[in-house]
Amino acid sequence: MNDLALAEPPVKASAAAAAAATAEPLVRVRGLKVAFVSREATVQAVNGVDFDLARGEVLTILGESGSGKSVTMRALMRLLPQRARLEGEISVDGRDVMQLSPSALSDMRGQDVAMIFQEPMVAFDPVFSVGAQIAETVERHMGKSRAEGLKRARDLFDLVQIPSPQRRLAAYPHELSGGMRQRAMIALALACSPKLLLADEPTTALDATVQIQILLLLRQLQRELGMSVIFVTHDVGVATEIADRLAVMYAGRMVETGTVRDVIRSPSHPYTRGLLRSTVHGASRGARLEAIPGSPPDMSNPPKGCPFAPRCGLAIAGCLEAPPPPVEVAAGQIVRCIRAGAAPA
Amino acid sequence: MRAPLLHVSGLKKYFPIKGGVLNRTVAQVQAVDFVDFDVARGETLGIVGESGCGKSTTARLLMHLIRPDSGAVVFDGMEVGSREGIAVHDMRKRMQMVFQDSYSSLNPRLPVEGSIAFGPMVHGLGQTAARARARDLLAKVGLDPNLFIRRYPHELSGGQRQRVNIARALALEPEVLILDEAVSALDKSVEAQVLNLLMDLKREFDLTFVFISHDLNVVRYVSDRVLVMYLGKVVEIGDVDAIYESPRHPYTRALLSAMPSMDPDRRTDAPPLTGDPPNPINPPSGCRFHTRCPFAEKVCELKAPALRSIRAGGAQSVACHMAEAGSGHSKSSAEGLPA
Repeated sequence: MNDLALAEPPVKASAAAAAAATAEPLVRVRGLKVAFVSREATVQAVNGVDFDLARGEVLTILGESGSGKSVTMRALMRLLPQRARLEGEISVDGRDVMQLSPSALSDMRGQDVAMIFQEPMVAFDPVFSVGAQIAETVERHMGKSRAEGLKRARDLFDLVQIPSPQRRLAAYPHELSGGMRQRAMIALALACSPKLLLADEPTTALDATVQIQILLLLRQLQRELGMSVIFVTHDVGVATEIADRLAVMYAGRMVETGTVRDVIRSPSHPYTRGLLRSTVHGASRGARLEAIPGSPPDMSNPPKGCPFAPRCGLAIAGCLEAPPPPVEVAAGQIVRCIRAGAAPA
Repeated sequence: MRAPLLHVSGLKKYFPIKGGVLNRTVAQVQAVDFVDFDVARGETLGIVGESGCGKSTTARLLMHLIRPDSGAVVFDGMEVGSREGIAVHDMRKRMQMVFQDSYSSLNPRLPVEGSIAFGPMVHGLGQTAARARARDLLAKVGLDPNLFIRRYPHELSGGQRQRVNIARALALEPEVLILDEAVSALDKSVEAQVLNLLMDLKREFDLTFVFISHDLNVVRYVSDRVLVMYLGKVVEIGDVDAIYESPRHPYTRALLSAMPSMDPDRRTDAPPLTGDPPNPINPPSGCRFHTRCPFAEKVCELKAPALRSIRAGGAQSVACHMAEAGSGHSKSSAEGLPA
């Protein structure tokens, strides 16, 4: 499987270059804000996000619906509707994504940055076979012939462990089972050996026994190909299985980031704690769950202070005044909460 | 032992697939295939399984939203829909259902009050009394009646809508509530609130739950007993601790070990099963799990295993040739798959 990675544009450069590259993050985001503007309202979906992603790292963005996790990820490819207003800095592999021309963006999408989605049936064109769609991507971005594209598609199907690949290449999306479709979509995303793979809840629609297969496949491919991955999910268990680093989003901000071990073992932000506690896992039957009261704020009118303050048991007057600054509670674990130090474990 | 509140025997539903010029039946989806189980008064029976295993069809058959091809649902000793038994209309007063999609299960043109009061009015309660009941129930599910009674479904969040659906299901003062993935579409923090609410209501109104979900963590939390389905068949049923701590069917075991780990230092190394669940149209012969089962032998292909009790008092039953001594499987014993 490794020779596939080597046969194509070098994913792993020489040792010296690799060492230099690791110092420089692949993705650097500062002060990202995304607002959706319509005549009735302006919804501030992402409200000031900063993060770095190292080469070969898996960052999982964990959040509930409306937290801005998918919008943050799509902003990296500027894959947002016209009415979205972006602010801030985004650089991917040293390029300023905010300044790219439409044609440069098209070159980047699929080649340097690829994305997989929750619903592969929507990601594929229903009237072309999956093999043809992968070959087309290879032709478009790598200047190869159709025959070479199809050969690459065949290799990719081996890579994502699709049984009887030759037959499956000729299949149309609706002819594949859910798990196979998801594998085919991963093959499509990997067609040009992207440096960055964006995964938007790719296992959410799958059955339990299939979900774990896809998660393990992604983990294996990420290791073998040395890609960076940003993985968006609402499921703590899925995040724990796949992440190196975890970023918890709430109301358009990353409220806590750190290694998956630190965040899961010793969560510091009251929201992270609440989320982990309200997740039914090993809770004894009959015992009440410690649910977080209330619901997330309306982002067409985001609160002035900490967005979690109205639901937070530890909130003080200061929480309502200004958005909390980032605090490093432990090495590499950053929390946006002025009560992070005071909070009992 | 008291007679169960709900007794299901030999329940079967095949959906025909029509095709060809003559519109003949070309195949059948074997959605539910001879399913038997009991639900005791006051307990929660969890039903788990992957998509297409027949959990939702089972729920709809219980409610007679669709008619079974064969088999019987006996409610409180009376067979539903039979001449001597209980009429469907009367059964539905005592058994109600909450669906997964909180939006499509409410009438978009009816305010919350109308949706909740509609059922009692159909069943003969006066308008004033039905409205009073709607207000009561809204308060019971944690929504302020003064604020919510006039709202339409699109003005509510997902969690609030699901609370309204629960209030509506309770409006006829039922004894049984069938919850078909009722919390699956909710965010985790809201899910916990609704689960707490369901537990409170169960206690307050002495309800019996049939709780269908694909989320094994949630099922473990709410259920007294668990039924595991695979491609229209019951593969294992028993007390929740027996099922989760010593699953005896290879499928139950795979399903449980496919749950994502919650411990970053103990991640899953290998998937317990390969491939997708087969299509319920023309399911595999014999034991339907034999195509994915690591222990499958010749006998599994040829003969469907029967559901057999392996613990005293029906605490655990499993449908597997390995749990039937002398079944012809080389690993067969009376206890089933060794731990």
